Amino acid sequence: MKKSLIFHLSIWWQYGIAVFFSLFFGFPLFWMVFSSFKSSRELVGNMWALPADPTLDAYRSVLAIPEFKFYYLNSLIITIGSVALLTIVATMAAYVFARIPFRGRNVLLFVFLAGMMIPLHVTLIPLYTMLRQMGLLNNLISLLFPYVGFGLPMSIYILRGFFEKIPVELEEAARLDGASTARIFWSVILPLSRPAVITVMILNVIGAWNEYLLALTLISGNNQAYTLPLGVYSIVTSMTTFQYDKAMSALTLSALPILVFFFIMQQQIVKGLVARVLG
Amino acid sequence: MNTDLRMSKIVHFIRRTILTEATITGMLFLLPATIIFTIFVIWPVIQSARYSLYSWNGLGPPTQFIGLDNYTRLVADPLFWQALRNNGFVMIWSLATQIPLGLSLAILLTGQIKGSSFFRTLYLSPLVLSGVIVGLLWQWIYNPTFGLANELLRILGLEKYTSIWLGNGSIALACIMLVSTWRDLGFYIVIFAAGIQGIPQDIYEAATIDGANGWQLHRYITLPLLKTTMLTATVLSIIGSLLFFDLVWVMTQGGPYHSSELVTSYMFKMAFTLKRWGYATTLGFVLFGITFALAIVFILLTKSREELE
Repeated sequence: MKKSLIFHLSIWWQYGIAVFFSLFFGFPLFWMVFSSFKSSRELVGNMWALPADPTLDAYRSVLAIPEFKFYYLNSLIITIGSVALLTIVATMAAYVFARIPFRGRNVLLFVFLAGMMIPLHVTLIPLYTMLRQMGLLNNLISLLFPYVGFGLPMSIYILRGFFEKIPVELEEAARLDGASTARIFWSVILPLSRPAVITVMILNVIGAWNEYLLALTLISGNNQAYTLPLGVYSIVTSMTTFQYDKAMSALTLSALPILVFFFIMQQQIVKGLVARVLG
Repeated sequence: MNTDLRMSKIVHFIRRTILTEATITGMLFLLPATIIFTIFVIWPVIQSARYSLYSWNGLGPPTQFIGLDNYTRLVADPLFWQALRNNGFVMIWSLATQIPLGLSLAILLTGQIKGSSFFRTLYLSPLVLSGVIVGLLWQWIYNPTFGLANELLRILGLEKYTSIWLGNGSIALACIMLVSTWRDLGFYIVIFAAGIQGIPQDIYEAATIDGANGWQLHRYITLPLLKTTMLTATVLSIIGSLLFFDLVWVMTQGGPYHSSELVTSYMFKMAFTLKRWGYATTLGFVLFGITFALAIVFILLTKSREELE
């Protein structure tokens, strides 16, 4: 038997509700995409109709904006850079928190995990001041360490939970064979933890790719350094209702990479969201 | 005897060196994370506490120490209280939608209907989008002249309900919250669905044999067993409401006339539009205090729950 009848609703009502919410969640995105293939005049004339005469004009003019590809590139660079560094640093730390006891370790762990509750807002002005002193303000690099720092609590939390479930016997066997701790971490723990490491990486990729507040604070003075969220904001807000079609195609183009990523990685993303909350 | 003693000494020595080696490696492994975290997360929080005691326009280092003046000013600032009230509205809206709707849809998707993975994909897809893209898209949907929202009302013959939406101070925040529900509900559906799937099937079967109907199954099995998940979801929802920022900043920047102002957007304006850095850090620090206090209440609640069980 499948889990229960929902309350007293017949199966048709259940499908009805499911479809209603599908329209609620799905239609705005669907509308954004098909509107981007209309001309501005057609769009304003009839919002609801599918494009009668699909055109790529809007895409051509958006892609002709020279900065647009730099926004992608900047987002790609900072996402890859911060997630790579974060993954290395977080797995190493999480392993120690799971396996190597020493005095004061739990206090340190508490400090890291408490970091999940620190609002980004409280750190903005100090970070701005610090990076200004370092001369990194309005430079893409300025985002690297804040992204890593704020990604650490959640990453350590998930990875540590996973490492603790790996049987200790495997490590002891390796240790009797004379392997060093670093060696055990590299050759025993990491290969076994691929799923958890990938889950954490995926969550952090989404986080870094979409990040807005730190980027707005630290790099908004330099158009060349804009990540995609800042870039698409500056492009779309400069458009009038006469450029409706172009606004929709700019939004579609910016949404596309992460949506494709989501459709491919959906299983892991769901696993990651659950792990983040329920451990 | 003598050899035994020597053996045990050797074993002890080896064990100690191994431990030391592990500890040293451990410390080295922790070093990069600790350094980055200290400099870029912990230190700014400490600095923030200090800055909040200064009157400071952001140029150069803070010099004009004013004690707790920023805090007394904050208590007397009507805009701060309005922002906090708006955060209260955000919180109530979030709790009233995310928990009941999230749970109901999770029950729906884990139930009898086919194609639930298709529905889940649809429900979850807005979640992975940047708040900027979501906010901009809905800004066009709410556009008074050429927006989908008014267009829908016209088609339905409800022309008199058309509105300027985000331009109308009495409903702007509610309009933003609808978008927030659109984006975030999928997250709550997913965590509730995971909780439901963790409940052993035989409990439901036994109850069904005993004659329980659908409503009773959920009232007496699903809800009690999901208590921890619900508590976690509640806290996430509350903290999320306090830190809510992206959508408001993109869609209204707190306007019109502060009607959708939140503590976060007010703080950001103070800092980077008005350059009142001392007061802005005070706002940030108070936000931090509220969030932290709520988080600690949550930890104590879950602790006492675990002790009860």
